Amino acid sequence: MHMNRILVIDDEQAVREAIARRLQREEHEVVIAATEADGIAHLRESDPAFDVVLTDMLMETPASGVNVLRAALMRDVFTEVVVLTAYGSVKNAVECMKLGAFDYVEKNIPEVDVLELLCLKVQQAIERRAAALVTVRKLERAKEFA
Amino acid sequence: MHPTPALPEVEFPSETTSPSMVECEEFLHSVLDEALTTVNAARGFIALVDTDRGELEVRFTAGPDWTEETRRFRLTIRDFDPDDATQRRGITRLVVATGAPYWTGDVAGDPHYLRFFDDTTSELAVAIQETRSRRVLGVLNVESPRADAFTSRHCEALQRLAQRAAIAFTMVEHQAREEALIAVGQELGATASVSQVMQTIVAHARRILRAEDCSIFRTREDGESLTLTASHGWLTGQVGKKQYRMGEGLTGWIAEHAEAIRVTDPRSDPRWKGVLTEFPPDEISAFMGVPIFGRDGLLGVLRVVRRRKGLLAYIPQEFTDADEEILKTIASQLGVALDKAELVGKLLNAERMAAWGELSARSAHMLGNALFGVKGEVNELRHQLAEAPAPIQELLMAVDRGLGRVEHILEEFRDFVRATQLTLEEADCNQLVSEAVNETFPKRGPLKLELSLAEGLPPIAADAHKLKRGFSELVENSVDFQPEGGSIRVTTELIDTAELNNLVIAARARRYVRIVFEDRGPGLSDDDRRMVFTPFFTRKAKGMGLGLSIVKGIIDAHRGLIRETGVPGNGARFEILLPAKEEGCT
Repeated sequence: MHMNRILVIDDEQAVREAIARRLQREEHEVVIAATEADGIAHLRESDPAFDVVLTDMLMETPASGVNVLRAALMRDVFTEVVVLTAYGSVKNAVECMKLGAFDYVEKNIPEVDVLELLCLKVQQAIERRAAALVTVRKLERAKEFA
Repeated sequence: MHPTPALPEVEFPSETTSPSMVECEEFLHSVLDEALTTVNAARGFIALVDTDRGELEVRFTAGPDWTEETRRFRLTIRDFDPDDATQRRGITRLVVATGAPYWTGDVAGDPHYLRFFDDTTSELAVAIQETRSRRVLGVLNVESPRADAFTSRHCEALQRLAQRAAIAFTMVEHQAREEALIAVGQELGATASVSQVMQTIVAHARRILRAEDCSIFRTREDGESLTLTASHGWLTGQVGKKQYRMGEGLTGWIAEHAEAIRVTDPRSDPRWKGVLTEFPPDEISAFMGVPIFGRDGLLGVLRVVRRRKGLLAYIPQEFTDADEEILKTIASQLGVALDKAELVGKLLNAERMAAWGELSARSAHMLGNALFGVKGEVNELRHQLAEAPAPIQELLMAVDRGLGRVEHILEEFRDFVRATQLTLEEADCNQLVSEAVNETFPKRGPLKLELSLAEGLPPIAADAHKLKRGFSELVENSVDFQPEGGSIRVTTELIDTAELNNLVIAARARRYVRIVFEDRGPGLSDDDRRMVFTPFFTRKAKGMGLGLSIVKGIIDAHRGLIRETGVPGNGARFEILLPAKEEGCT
């Protein structure tokens, strides 16, 4: 059974460690990066591509999250990206969804265990990725018939 | 009889065209020397009036036998009654008191003479007087061992010299006043603190105008009254405590009419009230007050008073036209300085707010990340302790609840910081009010709603979402505080800033839209009113109380004003002013 590979990018150590530990409990393979540049390097060099990417929206620049999203999709369109924000901005979230993100999650939601929420999102992303791959294979086989 | 020799003409030295005090002193010395020569006197002196102490001080001496002791002699002139023949107080004092010259050929037989020197037989003294006001500045006194040494012609010659001395002296005084005014201007330019500004003004005004006391009154925010904010003597203890109503007394009149008042014996003026006096009213010999204007209108009143100084007829007490001009100049400097202090205060505040906003944003960010980390640890802990007994599970839940509270506070904190980040667009105030009310006013329930929205209101520059949030908060509060029923009344109207004319707010627009939210709830006490817009202040049972401070932050960011003006026990009344967009402005 192939282990899902997840890339976690956040400039805050406490956040990286908390997410990595929780995802590892689900037996995912987790790679962490502390900067936008580091994260994008990982995306390019990784073979095979990551299944899911969790990235902070705001790091060195306000566009860091969007840059990571673009780089991830350019590397492999089947990679699912979940964007993390510190303080909800609907505008940013809509922009990310339009660019192809799977979802966005606020890091501080009172009385909500965001880590559990992230696990759920990762699981949903993996399932969607798998379903997308199935669809593509069907398409390829259909072409053979044509 | 010998023909009396022609008396030499005294040259008017060119030095006096621009004298400094030192040059003036040299000039007065030379006047004294000339005097001795001109009238063939053996000895002489010039004494000058010290009005602060009511004394004559011997300043210049000429001739032999002057000692330290005699030089330092000071003659009190307060309470000197020239008509009382039983008083033997000296020729010099007599001249000061009457302003008329006096001479005698035989001091021994003279009722006024007071012995200074043993060899004096004749004495002549003339007053050094300001030409226009007749104010006595001092005395020029000469003496001779010869009997009957002086005649009226000597007196006239001495008077001419005395006149020149008076001119020189007056010019020095004027220059000193000018220098003092310049110094005031410079000091005010350097001072930022409002209280320092006022103390400086009080000190300088007293000196420059030879007034015994000076007081400053500031108009209060409501424009209905004036508070004493600075004084020098007796009233210092009343600073901050005493007030005039607008129109009350001389001071209130000055504020109401924005015009100066200048009187001697203020009690004789029908406007006089005697509410606040620097001295017992019968001791005030002259009163002068001028309005203080700032950028936005009347800021207050500046007044000076002179104290009655006994029976000195030739020391006129009244303030002159020139005095009034000077006080007006000082008042305008004060106005500028007060405006500047307020601006500096606002700038510092704005900088502080900007810095604070940045600090808050960063702090919020860091807090958020740290919280995320802790919740992660707790998540792992719960996983590790999945089999632990109930008490441990309960502890974990308690930790969860605590963290939840912290996150709530953080969220509201972030809301507060964001409240001042606006995206402004043209908006219709009535529409925003209607929408906010529709969204928050309970459709069913015991509360009545009254909406009175003026027609034809000009648009306002607003962040619609945030402004509506502010309005909603006020409606929600009114609902919460009237659980048994009551009413909420919301009105909008356009007002001109002329209606606000006595309010000391920096009117940034000519017209404002006024929105009033009032209810029939318990209202706010005076203590509440002072605190109601500060963060984490609340009288509601639930919530963090950040609501109204966010509302104020939103209104302030819209360059408006919010205040609570209800009567305690009779409901709350929140008044919001928002600048109306003028045509042709962006």
